[in-house]
Amino acid sequence: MIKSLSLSAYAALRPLQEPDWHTKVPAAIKRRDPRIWQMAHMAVLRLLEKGFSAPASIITATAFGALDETRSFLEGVYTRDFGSPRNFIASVHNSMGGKVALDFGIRGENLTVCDGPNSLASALSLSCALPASAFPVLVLAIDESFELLKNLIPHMPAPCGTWLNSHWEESAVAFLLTSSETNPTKTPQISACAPFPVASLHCEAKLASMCKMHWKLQPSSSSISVNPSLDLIDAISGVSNQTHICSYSPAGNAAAIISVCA
Amino acid sequence: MGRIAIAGLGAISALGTNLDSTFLAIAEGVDGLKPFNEFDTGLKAHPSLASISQPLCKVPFSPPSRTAHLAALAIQESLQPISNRKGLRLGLVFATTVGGITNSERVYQHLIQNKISVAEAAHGFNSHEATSCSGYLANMVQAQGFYTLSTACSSGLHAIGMAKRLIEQDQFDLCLAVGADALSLLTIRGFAGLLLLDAAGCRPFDATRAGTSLGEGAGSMLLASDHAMEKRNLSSLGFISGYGSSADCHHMTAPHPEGDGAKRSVKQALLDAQLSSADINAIASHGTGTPDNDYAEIQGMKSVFASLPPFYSVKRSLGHTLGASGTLEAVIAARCLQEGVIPRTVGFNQLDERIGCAPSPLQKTMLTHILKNSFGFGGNNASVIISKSQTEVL
Repeated sequence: MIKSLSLSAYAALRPLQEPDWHTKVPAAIKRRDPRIWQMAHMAVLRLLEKGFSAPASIITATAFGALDETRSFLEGVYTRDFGSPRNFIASVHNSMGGKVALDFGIRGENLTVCDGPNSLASALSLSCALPASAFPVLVLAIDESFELLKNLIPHMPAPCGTWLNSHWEESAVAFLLTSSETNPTKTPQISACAPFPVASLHCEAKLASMCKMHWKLQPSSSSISVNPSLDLIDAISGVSNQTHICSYSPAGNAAAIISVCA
Repeated sequence: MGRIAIAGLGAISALGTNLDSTFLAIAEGVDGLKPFNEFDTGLKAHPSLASISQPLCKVPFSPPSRTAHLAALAIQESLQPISNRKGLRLGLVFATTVGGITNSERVYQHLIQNKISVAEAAHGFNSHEATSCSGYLANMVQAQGFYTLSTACSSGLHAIGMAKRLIEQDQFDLCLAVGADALSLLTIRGFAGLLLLDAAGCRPFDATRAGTSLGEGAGSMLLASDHAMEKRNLSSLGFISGYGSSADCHHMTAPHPEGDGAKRSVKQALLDAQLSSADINAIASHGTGTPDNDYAEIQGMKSVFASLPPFYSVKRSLGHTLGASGTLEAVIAARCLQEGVIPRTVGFNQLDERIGCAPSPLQKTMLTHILKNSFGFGGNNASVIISKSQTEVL
């Protein structure tokens, strides 16, 4: 039985749609922090500026983590025989979650899940397993685009390439969640399942059909999301009428579903 | 919450290809470090590492990376007690820091040295994501659901804690908590760059300690609900009774000097287990051998325990296996609990007056509850309590 969560607020940073976003980053952070940390900071800042107090815990959802930092570190090792410690520190997958906790004083649970496009579903599903003391929980869905990735993606073999090539957009989206039991108000209710393996399926149509079969989804919601966090925002805000957001991870050959009751 | 049974254990490390051989070497105080020559690290002084030098046994299908291969071997061992999983929902919580980077870092090297084309690199990059490991493993064991955790060196212990919660929440009847990491250039050069590698090999809690030593391996713990234990007539190998976690909010790499985050993590685990600090018989410490970490860890423990229980570190034997360390060392702690053994801390020789206490010598003793700690970059802390019985023996 999957519990549901109440969505108190959300805020998004979409660099593609706001090319000057970095001009609003506090100077000290802009000077010192990697770009993806800045994205994380801005998304959470926007959320908390809506008048919410700091969350008790955080779960970060990311496919690649701070991959450009990993790339920079390795480039230094391979070309100059020196990898920058700063790049290495930032390269760990949980560096965004650690930095956000540090910036905003989140002293409770701090998890990072890396399930490709299913990461948001993973984070939401794991949120349901947190103790009451961990709420409100901040779920931060974040991935960035950078030069190497842009160059590699068109050449990636199916199914990875097919997915990444389609409509993927970098973003940082912060969701503030409370337990439905403690907040039975009219805020949107969200639930999600853990990613599940999709054996021998490489075709989106087959996957959609399986999702319908197992989760009794409406045909209109059977497409596979490449930006689950952005699609979730659209569903909550009424831009779309989706009630289920299906995601698929080519690298993990697994699918996941987020359900929304707005 | 309740105590969740451990139904199976599995391990692969520099000390052995299964739990029996790994535990025996730990109990005998074997030093697992050796000169590393699996690949060129580019370092002028070659570090001693705890690598697995023998060829790995074959596993089903084709693992996408060495990390996944190590995990698959540990999982196979931990699933041995249960031959029939029909009708039981199996989950998997997988923990790693490097995932498939052992492949992609070489691909990237060839790419920037113009030895391969972008198109060829793209193929090699396919297995980079951490979820490529967990997806492979979940497909291998036909799990109903899985999660991939990556919180640096605390990842593996979080996997156990979250697996406990997922069973408590009735998401799964059985849940594998698995941590795995292979040695990679990224981590070796990264730790070296931060001056965190001790050229003489790590010496946890020793007055002369100067850093850690890296290793590779995997640990797997199969947790089971009461219903699953009963239905399949499984014997428990101990119980996970408490889990706590916290964030330091102090610094991205340095621990809180007074171990504040560690203290809160342990207190939460004690609360979850409904135990007092006096109930803990031994601490399987994080004990990396870095000057700040060992000091902060003991400071944190002193603020929880009126009288510090015996503590030990296995980092010199296993190396610091990063994302695997929490799971692998908890698997060994569970065996210590069964056998009534507190291992000695290999590498420790001289009391650090600043710490003010020494790790335990080898002891054969009755154990009821062991506390396992793991701490990671980002000020990330995890604590798990492993107990011998489901209820207190009065």
